[in-house]
Amino acid sequence: MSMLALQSVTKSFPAGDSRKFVLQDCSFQLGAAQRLAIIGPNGSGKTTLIRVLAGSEPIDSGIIHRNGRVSFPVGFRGTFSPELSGAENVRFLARIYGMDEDQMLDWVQDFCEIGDYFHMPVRTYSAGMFGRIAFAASFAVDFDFYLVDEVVETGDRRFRDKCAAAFNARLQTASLILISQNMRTIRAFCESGAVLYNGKLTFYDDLDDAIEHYERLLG
Amino acid sequence: MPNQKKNTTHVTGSGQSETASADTAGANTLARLQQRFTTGEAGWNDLVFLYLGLLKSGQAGEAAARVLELAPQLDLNHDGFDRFVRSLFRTKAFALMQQLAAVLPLDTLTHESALTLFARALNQQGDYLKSLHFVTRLLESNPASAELNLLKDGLLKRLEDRIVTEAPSAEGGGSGPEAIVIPQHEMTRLIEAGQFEAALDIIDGMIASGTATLSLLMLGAKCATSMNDEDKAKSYLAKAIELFPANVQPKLQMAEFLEGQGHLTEALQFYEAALQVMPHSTRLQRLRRNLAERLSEGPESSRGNVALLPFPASRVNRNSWWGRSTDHFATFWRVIWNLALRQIRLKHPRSSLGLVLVVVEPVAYVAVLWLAMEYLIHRARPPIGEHWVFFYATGIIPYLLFTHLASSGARGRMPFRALLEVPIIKPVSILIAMSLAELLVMASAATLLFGAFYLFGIFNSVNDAYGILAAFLATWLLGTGFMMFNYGVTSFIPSWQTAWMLLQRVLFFVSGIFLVAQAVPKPFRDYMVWNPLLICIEWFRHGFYTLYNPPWIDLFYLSLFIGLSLLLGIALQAVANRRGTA
Repeated sequence: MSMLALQSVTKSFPAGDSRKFVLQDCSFQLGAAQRLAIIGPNGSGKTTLIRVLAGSEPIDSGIIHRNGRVSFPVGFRGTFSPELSGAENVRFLARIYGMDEDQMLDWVQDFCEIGDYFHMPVRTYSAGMFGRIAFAASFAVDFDFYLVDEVVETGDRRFRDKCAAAFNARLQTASLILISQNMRTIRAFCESGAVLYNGKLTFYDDLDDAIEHYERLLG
Repeated sequence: MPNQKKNTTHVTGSGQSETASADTAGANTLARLQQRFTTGEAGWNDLVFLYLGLLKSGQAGEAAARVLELAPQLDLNHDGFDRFVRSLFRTKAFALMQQLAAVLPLDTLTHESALTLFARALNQQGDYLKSLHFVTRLLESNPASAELNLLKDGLLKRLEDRIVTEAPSAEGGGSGPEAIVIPQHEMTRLIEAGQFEAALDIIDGMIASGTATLSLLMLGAKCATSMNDEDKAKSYLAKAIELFPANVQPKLQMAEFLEGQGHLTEALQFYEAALQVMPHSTRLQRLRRNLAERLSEGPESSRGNVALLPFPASRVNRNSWWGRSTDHFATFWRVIWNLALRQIRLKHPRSSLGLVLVVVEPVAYVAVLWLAMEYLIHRARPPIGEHWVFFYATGIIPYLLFTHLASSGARGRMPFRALLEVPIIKPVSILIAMSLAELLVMASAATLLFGAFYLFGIFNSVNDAYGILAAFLATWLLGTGFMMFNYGVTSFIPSWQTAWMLLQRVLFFVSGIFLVAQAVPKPFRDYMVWNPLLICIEWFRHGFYTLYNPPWIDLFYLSLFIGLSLLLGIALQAVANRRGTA
């Protein structure tokens, strides 16, 4: 059973003489197949929170339990070396995640529809092609927790629909933590919500309540 | 635009009052120079003298006027233009340069440094668009230039600010009195909050009142795409192309948009239109070529089908019976191993012989230095054994292993930093992978080298095969400790990198690569043998030479040193990484 839990976690940045808190003594727990949206004004620390959950940001104090695999931000392009081909890059991901390499390669190649470019160096890709292969690779690995920073889909409408369909299929068993300021995306994917403001994370079972809170904050 | 700005000469020197005090000799020279211009034999250098001379005698206004009058008569691509531009720039005559940029045919200019100076002067004068035009052109031939990229970023930033500040005063003025002007960042905020309809209403209003800027139109197109209103997005892009025909961005966007929709033929037209604006952009050329290739391949059958493909089988090893901790270790190791392979693969990514090159590199190093020793120094016999090259190789192989590791750490920058966003890749995984990659490469190179020596009969038996292996691994561990230590220190004190490189030079001479410690006179030797790298090298060498058995291969001291360097290294890199990501 997968679980992601924070136990009185504090995370802050030095800001002038004082410190700016992103999380202050924050505890929560997320189980399987939950879809949580984290919303908050600009600069409230949403991206930092995602990085804390992923483990790429050290925390001041507290404990984070990760039982299950946490994804890199969906659509993340940093794992792709421009010098290697799309296939080589995907193979690297398949290997570090212990996936069946050939199956994953086939699936990604089918999904991203970039044809023979799959075997060309990534530096020759157009922005659209790069986006498609990056998203396809994110959906191919079966994570238990998908972290999304703003973007869920890429490309033209048809490919965006395909991404959404693939993502929804993944979310039958996996959980989602999505940060966005785009209420459309949030409503399309999430069930519950939390508002991040001044180091405090306020949870709402009903997404609409969270959005209402957020809109009150914006004034 | 040039006509407006011509009146505003920046130079404030009042010519008349000071002409009287200018010395007559100077005046004579100036007169002679003017003479040369009238006869048509003058060049850029004369103009520089004339300009600087007039400036010096306080007639700045006159100097600017003469330059504006005479410069267009001279050939731009002639030597001396560079110097001329440098003089203008050095005397801070930015306004003059701006006027010149309007008059001279700078687009035909081949002097890159002069063009850079013009771009910087225009930036100073606030003519960001024109400056950006030059910078973009310069970047095409020199895409990696830090100076140009910095300039470009600054220009883009300022242009963005300017859109906000200048939108209301957009020329023409034919707009209605109720023209809505919303700052750019307000729009971005609306869009981020998902208020697409409101944003589009405002943009429509601004188009109607003629106050829409290029970036607003692009924003509108992006916004409409998010709303799945493709026709609307297209109409914004079309408007942008119509209003700003000299800008490549909307054309490119339109082409990519159409390509995404599958309208390949139309997309091709827009790529071509974009190429007309920027004919030298290799990126545009490539995109156009790709599309042309796709068109010639004919329609693809799989397109237009949104069926969800089956997911790959679940992960291998998901519930390993030997428990979670071994599972964690297996993941940790799998990540390191694959990172190491990837690093080796990326050393020469563009060559089909990449892997061979990686291994041959250290071997070539040995060969070159051996040739130098053999033919330049003329030393008949090495300190021990028969063959210089063999003696030399037994020293340089451990030395290279150690220094490659230690100096890669001293660079203080984590390679593939972006990979740290991937949760299962930890900073320490990348460092260990670096060390493992080096071990694999050097072990292959050593096998190749000593295998060749064996085949050519340079040596026929070894003294202590396990000793060789152990010494090699000890060197590796020592190097790994220093790699992490150096990585940690450099991230706190950047100048450590330079210091380490100096130290490494010294190590090259005192670690017993060209000589054995035995041959060094007594007081010096006693200090030398504290060097752990020397001990490693002598140990390695002892494995090959039966008769060489130095007493200072103190394995206790060596293990202590290795253990300490590893411990300290691991601790320091952990602190550095914690600090680095915070």
